[in-house]
Amino acid sequence: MTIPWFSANIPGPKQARVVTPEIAAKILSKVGRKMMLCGSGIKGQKIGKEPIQKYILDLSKEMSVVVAPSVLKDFLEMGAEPVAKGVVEVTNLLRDAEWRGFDGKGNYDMVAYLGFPYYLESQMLSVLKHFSDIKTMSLGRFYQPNADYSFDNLKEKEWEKNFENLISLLRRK
Amino acid sequence: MKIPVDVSVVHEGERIRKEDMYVELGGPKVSSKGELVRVRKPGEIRDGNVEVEGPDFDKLKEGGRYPFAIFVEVAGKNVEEDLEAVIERRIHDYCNYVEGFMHLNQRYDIWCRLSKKSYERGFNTLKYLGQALITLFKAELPIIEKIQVTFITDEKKVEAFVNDARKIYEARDARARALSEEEVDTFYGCVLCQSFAPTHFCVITPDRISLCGSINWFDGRAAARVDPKGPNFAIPKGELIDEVNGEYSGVNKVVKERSQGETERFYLHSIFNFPHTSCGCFESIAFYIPEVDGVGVVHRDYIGETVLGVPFSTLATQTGGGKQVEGFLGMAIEYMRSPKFLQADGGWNRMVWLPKSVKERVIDDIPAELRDKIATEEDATDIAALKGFLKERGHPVVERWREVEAVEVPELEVMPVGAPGGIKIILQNAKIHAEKVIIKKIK
Amino acid sequence: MKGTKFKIDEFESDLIKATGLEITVGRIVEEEWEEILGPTPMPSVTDLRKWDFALLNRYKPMYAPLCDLCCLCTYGKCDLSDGKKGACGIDIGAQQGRIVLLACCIGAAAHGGHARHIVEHLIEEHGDMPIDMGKNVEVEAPLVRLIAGIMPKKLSDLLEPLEYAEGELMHSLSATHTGQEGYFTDFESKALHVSMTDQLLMEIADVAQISALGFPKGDPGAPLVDIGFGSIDTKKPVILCIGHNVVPGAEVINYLRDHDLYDKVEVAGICCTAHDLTRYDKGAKIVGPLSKQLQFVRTGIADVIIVDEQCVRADVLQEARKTGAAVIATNDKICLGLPDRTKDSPKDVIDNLLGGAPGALILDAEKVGEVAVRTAIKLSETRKRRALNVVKEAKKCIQCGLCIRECHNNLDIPRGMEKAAKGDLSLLSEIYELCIGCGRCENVCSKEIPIVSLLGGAAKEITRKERYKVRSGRGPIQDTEIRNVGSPIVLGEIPGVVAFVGCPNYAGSSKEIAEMAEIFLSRRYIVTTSGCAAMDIAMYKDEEGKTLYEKYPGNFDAGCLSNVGSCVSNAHIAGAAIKIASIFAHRNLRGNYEEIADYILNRVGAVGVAWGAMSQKAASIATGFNRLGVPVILGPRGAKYRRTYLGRPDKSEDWMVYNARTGEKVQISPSPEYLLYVAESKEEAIVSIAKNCIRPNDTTKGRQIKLTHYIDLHKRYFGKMPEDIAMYIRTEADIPITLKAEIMKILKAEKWEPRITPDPTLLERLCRKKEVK
Repeated sequence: MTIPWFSANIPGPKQARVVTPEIAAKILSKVGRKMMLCGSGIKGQKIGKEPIQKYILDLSKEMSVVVAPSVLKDFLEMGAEPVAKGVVEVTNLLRDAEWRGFDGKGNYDMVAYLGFPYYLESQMLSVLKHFSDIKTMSLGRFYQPNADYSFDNLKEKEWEKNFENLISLLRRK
Repeated sequence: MKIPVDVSVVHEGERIRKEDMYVELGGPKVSSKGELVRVRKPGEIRDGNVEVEGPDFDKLKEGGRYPFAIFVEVAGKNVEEDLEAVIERRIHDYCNYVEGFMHLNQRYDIWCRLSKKSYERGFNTLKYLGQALITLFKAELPIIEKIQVTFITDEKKVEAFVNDARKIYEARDARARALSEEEVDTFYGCVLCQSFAPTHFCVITPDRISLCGSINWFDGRAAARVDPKGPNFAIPKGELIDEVNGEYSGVNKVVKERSQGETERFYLHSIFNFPHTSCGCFESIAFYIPEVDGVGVVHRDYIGETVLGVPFSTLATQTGGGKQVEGFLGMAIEYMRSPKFLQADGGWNRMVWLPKSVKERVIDDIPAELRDKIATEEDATDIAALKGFLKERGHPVVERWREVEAVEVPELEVMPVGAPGGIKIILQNAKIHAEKVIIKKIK
Repeated sequence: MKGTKFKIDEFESDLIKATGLEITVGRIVEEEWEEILGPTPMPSVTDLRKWDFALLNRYKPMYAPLCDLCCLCTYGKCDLSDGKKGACGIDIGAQQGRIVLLACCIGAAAHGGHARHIVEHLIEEHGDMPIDMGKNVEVEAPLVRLIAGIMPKKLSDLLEPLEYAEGELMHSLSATHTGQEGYFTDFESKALHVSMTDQLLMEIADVAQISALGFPKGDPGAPLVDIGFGSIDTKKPVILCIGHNVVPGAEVINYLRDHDLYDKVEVAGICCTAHDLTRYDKGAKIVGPLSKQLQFVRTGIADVIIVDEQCVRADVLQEARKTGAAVIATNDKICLGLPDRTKDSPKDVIDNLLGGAPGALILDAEKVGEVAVRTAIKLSETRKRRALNVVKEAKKCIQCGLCIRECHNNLDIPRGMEKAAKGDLSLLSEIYELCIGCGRCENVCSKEIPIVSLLGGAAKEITRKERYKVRSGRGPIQDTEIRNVGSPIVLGEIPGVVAFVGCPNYAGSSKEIAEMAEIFLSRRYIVTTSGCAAMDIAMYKDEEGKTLYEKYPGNFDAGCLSNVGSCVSNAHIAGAAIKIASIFAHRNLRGNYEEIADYILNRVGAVGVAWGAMSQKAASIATGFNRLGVPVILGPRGAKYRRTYLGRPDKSEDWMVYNARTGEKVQISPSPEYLLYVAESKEEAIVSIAKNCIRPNDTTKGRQIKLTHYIDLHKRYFGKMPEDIAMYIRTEADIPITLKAEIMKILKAEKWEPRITPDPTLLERLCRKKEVK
């Protein structure tokens, strides 16, 4: 069993399944309504030479993207205007099955988290794990046991490769 | 023309230090400076026009200090000359909204600075400032239909301007002083404090400023003109019911409505019977001193103990929250300058004690023959000393003591501060067990 | 008088005739207080449940379990995931409420133990002194008046509310037992309850020590005192006090004064004891907040370490041992396994400590004073401070990376070590700035490198220069200061009150809190602070070399920074909010909690910020503020408290209040939006603070300025106009004049309709029938 990045962060018997980009892409592509939440940690993050924002915008053609308000400026500068809301606030909306979503079409089936402080993401995943039917996936560098699916603990380069791979798989289909 | 710096309330607190200033306009080191608002006929104004007479920012030497005048001319159906002073005071606020522009003081005393940073960002002409002023005036005071602004930096012209302006300030002040309740048919109400004190509201007349000291009759009039449904509104004064107490039918009607039925009548110029209510931000409090049958006043900034042996903060708890409390009246210090100041109670003839700093502030408004008869903390810090002082100086209230001895006056229900009046036993969670309680009918 | 019993054999009046009537009275008290007793003096656990439910209905708890299990009884462990219930029947939601309640009980107990000790000690040492909060403080103890319904005159009057709070704590804690409370809202209601008593306990402790120990009494000009490693004169013997209870430290100062040693020994403190030492004597030094504890102990500067209670590292004895410092435990809460030397002669204890004993437990503060001073003087002569070779130690690192996984802040210690091994200490020094000093990295280091010491060693040049000024804790806010700000608040000149409080468990740089404070100071908010946050605000200088305390006055006023003092001084911040209701609206405080909390929630635009909240005390402090109607914003680490209270602005039905003028239910802006929120970043917190200062009662001018700041900060940090702006505009007069055109366009697009500004309340009983004759 994979050990959480913060080794003491063992929630209990139910822990995330470790996924490769291939499996992650497969799972995501099967899901109906999905959303990706991007945290403050994406600031300055690059995939190869490209800013990660470019990849996220690419992905926004496949799923709803919500970003932390503190990184909204980066997107505005690129001419995009994703929904911006604090992760605690969004998670609070998500746990309400009756919530109609940002587009008014209903709540989401799966939510992916990326770029949050490890412990904050862990706690938000825990909310949805216990208080919603939404499936969750953690796309960060570190294994998050409270998600349903998570990348393994990865070295920086490995993770970049994984992420790039995931995006291209999702875009290909 | 897009203003190259931000214009917002958030810049209001900004101070520009000497090292950061590009130029200084007006200020203590320059003899001529001033600002003025005048009401014109619509035809006399080129709406939106900004003129600069004399060298503009880009022609002024960095680090220099220059004479400066701001002249704002306005027109509008509801803009009358009485509102000039109110509009003029907005110049200060609006100038400070401009990022990197600082404005201090008013009238012939203005002191402005432009920051280097804002100059470098392209704020190189007073036209931007004028543009900002015009936009802000029109946004906040839609009664202004037309407006033009002239800045003067030419020394001779500023001098001439200020000379003229001084005459206008004087005339304006004289008019404000002369204006009285008798002369107007409308008072103004203020319910701003209801956000914290839901049943309090202020009646503002030419003889009575709001008790926080922030809103006078002209301010009330201007605000009510701009937004009649807003927190400042007109009160038709109605019939004069009682001249001495300052009771008006129009006021009483609004009192009932606006106090949510808590209060029925106001005596505008008395501390007794039906005094004006208070919120919590009154500048000072007048308090009845039964032992000498006189009235004392203490203001918020007075730290020591009053002649009653308690500080302002203790006295202040006696009133407030829109409650009508006889013997205590929250009020503005400025009200002491009113010719109707507590006239029903004897006005200055009834005033026996006030802090020295307040006495100094209002000394010119104290009748000359009473000035040395009113005690301060230097003369009396307790009732005994106060009695002695009043007697020694021959204060008019001393006469009242004799009257009291001769005639039985109805006792006023005034709660003495700090002195308990009997005891009360409350049984809390007491368990009383009675085997049998028999209730018998009395024949 | 206590325990009076009387019997009336026969009694007859016009109305009643009684025979064999027995009356027992618990206590007879003389009372001069005229104020009418409100509905809930000394409320029981359930007396304010209705109010709690009103809050919880709007601000529904969101739970983020830190653990899916329950391990509290021998039925367990029980796995509560996937909707499973524990063997006792509890579900995961209730279990979270239970853990939150437990945390709040622990927090309240810490302040309660502190209060109990200090009140009894002060009465014993100083006699039953009158309560004196200084000039212009009419309401001496607003929380005691509000919650307990009594007006304390002397120290012993504090014993009754103290006893009450202790009783409530017992009832609340008992509800966490297996097989007691079973539903989350009731756990929350109890958490709110016990946290309310926590506020009461804090006030009792601080009121007692202000009265008896001569602390500043609501003084905005309380002295500026030294803070920082560099402010300590290492040439002198150094006594370090850690914790929250000032009594032993004060006795050290007394001993120094009495023996002409005052200038010869340095007395320094860490955490709230430090604040209170400077309140006792402005010559005392503050090392810094809790986060500096391990770092400073490791420097070996302290010759004697006195620990009292709360926030002391459990391993302080082992750590002190490494440097040869002697530890004196002084409080029954922290005995550290040390022998009890309370009854021994000071000489014996000193000899023992000088002879190499690691420490002593002395439960007599006066004796602590003597032993600490004499030991420190002697030890400083013989003890050598060991220098650490950072480069040599760093070379031991094998880059296993275990340390980084233990680090809360994911700090890249391995890279710092790599550079340091080559003689470049810059990265380790940078890491020092971000380190919260927990020392977990060392526990896992496969090479047993003293990483925390290395960070300190690398940053030595910086820390030696760390010398700042903080304003000593002023205690309560004066009534007159509150009166002063009334008019500027309604006239829209002051946008709100922001309180920076709590521990230093920051997710980023400790400088962030000072940066946030300055943003609101420069915007002329009223800024107030306490505890470790007040210290971190001091440890930052502007380009002119000034700290915020030197730059901004210590008043409770626009653009002023008031440090109320230590953790227990937080009560004065709550007290200020309460006093607004009594001063402006003349609302009775006495036993009138619900009405006052309703007033504060709907009218007082105050926000608490606990950016580095760590402890259970911080949990109860925040929850106590919540019950009183004050929203609190936590840093990202706050998510580990497991519970937030979040409103739903998208549900208009959640934002209805009674208009007390008419009794009708009316729509308000969603404000305050949260009661307890966790912000991911500094930027998010800043914008959230501005927004949560909005209240339904705002005057139009007040709303204008609040919105101006909200919009300006939103644009500055997030790059655009907030999307919810229309929700906050009631009438056109609410629109900031500089943004009129822009906002009118938005309103038009959103088909906005004007609304009235009510006299807002959640309590139907407060509605007035409009009677206009």
